[in-house]
Amino acid sequence: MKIQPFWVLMAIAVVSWIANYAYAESTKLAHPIFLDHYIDVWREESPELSLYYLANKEDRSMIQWVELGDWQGAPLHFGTGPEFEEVEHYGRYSLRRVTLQMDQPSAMTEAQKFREITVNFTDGATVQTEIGQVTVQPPYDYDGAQPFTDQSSASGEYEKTQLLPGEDVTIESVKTSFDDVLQNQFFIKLYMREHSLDQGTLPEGMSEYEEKSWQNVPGIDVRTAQFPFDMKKGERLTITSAADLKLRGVMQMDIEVAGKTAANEPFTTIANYISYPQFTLEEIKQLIKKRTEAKSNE
Amino acid sequence: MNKAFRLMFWGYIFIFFRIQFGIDLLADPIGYYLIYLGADLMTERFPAAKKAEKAAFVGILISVPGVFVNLSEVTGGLWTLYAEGLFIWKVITVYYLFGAWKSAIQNVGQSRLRQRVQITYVWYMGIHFVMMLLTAFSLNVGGNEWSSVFLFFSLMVIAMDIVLLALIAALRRMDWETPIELDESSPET
Repeated sequence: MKIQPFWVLMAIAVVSWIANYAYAESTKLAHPIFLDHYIDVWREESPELSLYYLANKEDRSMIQWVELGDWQGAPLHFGTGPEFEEVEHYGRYSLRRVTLQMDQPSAMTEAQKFREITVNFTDGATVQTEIGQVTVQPPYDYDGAQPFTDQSSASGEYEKTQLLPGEDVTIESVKTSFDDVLQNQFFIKLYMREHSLDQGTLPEGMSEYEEKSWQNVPGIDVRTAQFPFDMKKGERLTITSAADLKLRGVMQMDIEVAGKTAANEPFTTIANYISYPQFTLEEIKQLIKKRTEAKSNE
Repeated sequence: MNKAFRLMFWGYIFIFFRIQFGIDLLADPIGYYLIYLGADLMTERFPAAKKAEKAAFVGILISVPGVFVNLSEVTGGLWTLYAEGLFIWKVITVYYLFGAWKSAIQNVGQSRLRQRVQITYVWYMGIHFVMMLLTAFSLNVGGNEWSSVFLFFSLMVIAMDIVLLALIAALRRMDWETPIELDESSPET
């Protein structure tokens, strides 16, 4: 009996279904997975926080509220729109972004660092997970000294900020709130034409490629720079920053340049470092693995 | 025969359309039941309709759970499998209906109609087959281009449903009362 082509097609369709269904079930996420974030937030009335997470593509649940320690927040409501935005598609997963309206953080004079978050979804799931680090900075002193008459930034291969002081100043420190968490994964170089072109020791932890280009960037690694150092009026300071090529995280960091003017007034100036990760599917899988392994080690 | 085709026509409309008010008012089980009745009437003259009758009967039973769940809103898991199962069964039922109809139009002078039935059959089955593959791979693939292709074929499926309804209507309009003079020269499909 000749087998009707119809039944051959049906068999192919059914087999495709079974294969895809089995694969989808086996690679299904138990719960959404959050990216690593390195975010500085200012202690305003109600700050906003944008978080990225990975979910199964068929998952329709939304975030209801989150907790970083005692600090709570909930998604901003954009009318009747969905409370998340799909940023990118990775096969069976979708990368989503949610913008949260956080409560006013409790008053503290020091920066507060949060490394874990508890997230509650509309389908009842609660996820407690690493989030990278979210730092709440003490309120910015808008009345403080502002010795730099010009501050410009550029993005190219590396993020660069240039500061031009309108008076003589002393720079006491250049740092971020992520120096410990991003050790050997985030690098800053300082350059002043009047000072050294000395490279100092190369930073560890950089991939080979980046090392070669980074070598060519003028300046010295901030970790080997001698603080405090003086800047005369009109001398330009260039701050170049770069993250390890293998680092995949959402970065909205403040590079804090602190010091004193000639009149001994303290100042803090901020240079931003903003970067959003581009993943390959392989890197997504690695992230999933990293998170699920961390979970099973608890 | 006229009545048979009328039953099949309305039966298919019930399966094809969906008016959801809490439950599907144009419920699939009712649609399958109408097709069952139509096929049953047809078997009096054309025994090949027996298979279609059986397929419709199975359809009545398996489509009952779908009445209470809005299958276009399911998010994975067993309901997705069930929804696809219903889709597959609809295609199988239509396959047997085509078999029944082909057996009924073997007359001389019906060769144009046979052609039309055959072309409709190929297109209907082709589009539905592509749709089955797309829904299978949609479990694991996404993105804007994929969604566009998926949307296109979803519309094509709707087009095929309408083409099928038009075919049933055309078959119904035929003169079924004059005695049959079989077309000996054409091969039986």
